[in-house]
Amino acid sequence: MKQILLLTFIFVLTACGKSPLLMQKETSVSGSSGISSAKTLSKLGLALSVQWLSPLSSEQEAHALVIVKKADVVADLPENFSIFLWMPSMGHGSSPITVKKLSTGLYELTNVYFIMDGAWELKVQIKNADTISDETTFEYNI
Amino acid sequence: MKTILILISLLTSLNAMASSCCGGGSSSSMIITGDNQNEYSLSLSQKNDLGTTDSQGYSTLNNQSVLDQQSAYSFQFQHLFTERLQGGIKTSFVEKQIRKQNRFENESGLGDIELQGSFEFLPEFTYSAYKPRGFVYLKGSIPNSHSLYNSNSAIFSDVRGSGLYTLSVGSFFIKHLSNWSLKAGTEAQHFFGKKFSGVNLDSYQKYYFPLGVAYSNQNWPITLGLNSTFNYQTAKKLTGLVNSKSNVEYFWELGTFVNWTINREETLGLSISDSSLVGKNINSSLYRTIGLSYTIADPI
Repeated sequence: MKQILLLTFIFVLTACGKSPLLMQKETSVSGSSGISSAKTLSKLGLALSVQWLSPLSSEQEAHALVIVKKADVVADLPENFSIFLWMPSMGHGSSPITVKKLSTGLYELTNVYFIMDGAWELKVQIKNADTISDETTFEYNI
Repeated sequence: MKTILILISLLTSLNAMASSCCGGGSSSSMIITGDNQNEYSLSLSQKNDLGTTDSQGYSTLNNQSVLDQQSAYSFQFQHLFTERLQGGIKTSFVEKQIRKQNRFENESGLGDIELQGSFEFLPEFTYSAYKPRGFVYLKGSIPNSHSLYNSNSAIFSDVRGSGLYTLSVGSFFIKHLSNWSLKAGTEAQHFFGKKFSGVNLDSYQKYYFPLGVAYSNQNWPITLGLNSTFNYQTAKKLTGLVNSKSNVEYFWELGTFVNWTINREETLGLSISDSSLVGKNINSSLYRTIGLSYTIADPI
C-alpha cells in the first residue's frame, strides 16, 4: 500500500504546475445584453457599430444588430462582405453567422455561437475575389 | 525498499530526460510485448469534456447544463510478423452527444483509422537488471470526419478527430522488474496542412511523453497501473481570409488502469484518465475518459 501511495505521489509530482481544478477562473455573470462598440472600415470610410441584444456567453446563442453609416448617414455594406467569429488563441472559428439585412445600413446577426470562454474576434471583411480589400475586428472577452 | 529506490531513480532520471521543465508518460497501445502472435482488442470508451484552460492556465469548467460526451467503440488488431517486427491497425465508431447553447446534437460515424509498424531495436534475449526492451514505430492515421475548419455543426458535433492526415514516429521502452513493469516513450506526430474553404491550415506537430508503471503478482490475475502523459502541440498557423497563429497547447493526462487476466488468452481492462488533475495546462481541453477493453491473444 505504501508503495502504491508513493508511486501516485511521484506521478503527480511529474507535473510542474498547479492542477487546473485549483486554477479556476472566477465565475463571472455571463455578459449582459446591450453591449455596443464601434469600428471603421477605413478604406471604404464606413463606420460600423455592433449592438448586442443578448448576453455574450459561451452558454447560449447570441444575436446582435450591426449599424453601418457613411458620413453619419446610414449606408449598406458592399455585397461581397462576410462576418464571422474567430478565436485567435485556439486558431479556429465558430459556425457561420446568419446575417439578415433589415433595412438600409441595418443588419441582424443570429446564430452567433461563442463556443467556449476566452478572447474572441468578430471580423467584418470586404472581399475582392480571394483577397480582403477591407477589414475590421471587434474584440470580446467571453 | 530496494524496489522503491530503483523506481524512484528510474522515474526521476527519465523525467529529467523527457523535457526541460516537465516529463510524463504512459505507453503505446499498439505494441505486442507479451509472447503472442496476434492480439485482438475490443474497447469501449466514454470521454466527457469538463472544460477548457486558457493561455495563462486558468480553467473554466463547464456549467452543469453542458454535456459534451464522446463514446468510442474501437477494434484493434496487432500481429507479430517476425520476432522483432510487428504491425497494428485500429479503427473505431464514434458517437458524440453535445448539449450546449440551447442545442442538442447527436452525431456518429467512423473515427480515424490508425496503422502502425513497429521494430524492436532493443530486444531482451538475455537477462539484464537494467536494460529495457525498446521499440521504434511509425504510425499513420487517416481522417474520417470533419475538422474544426469545415464542420457543419455550430457546436462541432461532427468533429471526431483533427480531420487531417497524420504521421508519427515514436519510441517505447518497457522494463520488467520482479512484479513491476516500467514503461516510457516519446512520440512526435506531424499533422499535414490542408486547404479549407477560404483558409489554409499549415502543418503542425504534437509531441507525447508517456510514462507508466504497472504492478502484477503471479498469484493474482490482476495488474494495476498508473500512467502520466505530457502532451505538447505547436501553434497552428492559418493564412487566407484569416491570418492567425494560435498559441501553443500543452497539458498533462493522468491515468490509472486495472487489467484482469481471465486466462492465458483473455484479458479484461478498465481504465480511467483525466486531464484536469495535474498541470500546468495551457490552451487545452479538460476531459475525463473511462474505458473498458477486452483482449484476446494468440500465443506464439
